[in-house]
Amino acid sequence: MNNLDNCADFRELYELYSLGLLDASETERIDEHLAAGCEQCRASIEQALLQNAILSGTVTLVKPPAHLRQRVLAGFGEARPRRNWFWAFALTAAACFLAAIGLFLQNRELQTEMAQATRRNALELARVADVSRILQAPGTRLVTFGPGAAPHGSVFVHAKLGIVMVAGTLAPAPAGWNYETWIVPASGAPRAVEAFTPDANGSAITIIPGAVDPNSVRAVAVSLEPAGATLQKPTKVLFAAAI
Amino acid sequence: MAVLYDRFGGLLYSIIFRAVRDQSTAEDLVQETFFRIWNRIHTFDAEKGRLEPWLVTVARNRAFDHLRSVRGAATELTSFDELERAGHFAIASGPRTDHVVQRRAVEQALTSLNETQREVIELTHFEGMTQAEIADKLHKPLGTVKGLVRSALRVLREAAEGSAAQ
Repeated sequence: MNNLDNCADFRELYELYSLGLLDASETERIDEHLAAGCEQCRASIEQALLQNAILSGTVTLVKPPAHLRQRVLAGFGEARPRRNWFWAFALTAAACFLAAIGLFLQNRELQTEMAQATRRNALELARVADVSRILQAPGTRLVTFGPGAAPHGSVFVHAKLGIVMVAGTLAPAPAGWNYETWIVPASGAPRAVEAFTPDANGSAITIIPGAVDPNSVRAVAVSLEPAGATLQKPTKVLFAAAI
Repeated sequence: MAVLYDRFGGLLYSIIFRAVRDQSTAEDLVQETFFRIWNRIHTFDAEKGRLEPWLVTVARNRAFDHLRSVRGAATELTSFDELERAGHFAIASGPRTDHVVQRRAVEQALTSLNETQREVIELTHFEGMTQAEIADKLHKPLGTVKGLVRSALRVLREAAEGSAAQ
């Protein structure tokens, strides 16, 4: 299906289609049309995306609160050094980000650095990729815990992909003790999911892959556990991030 | 990221705040928006277009997803994932001057819409409401709302395309 009448009809709908605001039957008709490879409509959709962005950009400007800048940048380790939570993640992902900005600024030198950093940190990148999939997925929820206190950080929850917890300012575990991450269900006993060791900066990242029903999880918690202990319940809870 | 925030943070916050009307929620969604941008900015080609339309779309979709979640809507903005389509914005957005001119033309065209047309555009583009939801809210037949939305969008589209052609 690729005649002008259909394309003209569909053109009327592409702004709403690209906003996801059409009803199911209209969306289905357009999906079928696009699946046939209509180049005219592909161009129309690109124009509709831009049109929507232009229209959104006409919003009355509101000055964001001053602390928001610091909060956003702290998440990237740019504002407050004490929020430089997760060394491995920050080192690798920041290298990727800097190189991407380098591309944006057409800085070839940074691109080269990214490639070198990527080779050096191949294993860490694989872990970052798992984290990224959860961070970038539509529907991922962000929960922060302990702002202004130690330890603090964020929990990212995606119903299909899993949970990522990023924590900072963790003291080294006492001799004979380990850090442990727990899932605290809405009902029933907590479940130990992963032991971890903070890096030299006191930062750590835990990935709990797989589908999770956010309504069935009350919190993600971190405890200190005696080495070799049977993990039936948390021994010394350090913090719990409510989901 | 500081450069991006300083340049676009105010606009993205304004778009999100306009939709959710709550400062705390807007702050959370702005932070999430920058996380998402950070993860996909490498897909953007600065030589082909402007970053702003893409950033605006990411922010708006975060706000709409939140509103739909609050409303209990069954669907998310999955039919057109802006994170997968950064390249489309690069191709479409064109030179910076074109974009500024188009925005001015659209702003002017908005003032030419009648009150009901402006209201339906507000509800679709700033609050993420479907045409059925708008019909319910305004107590108008769905067909009437569809006609209003399409006629308003046609005016805005022609304004943008006309300014780009000049």
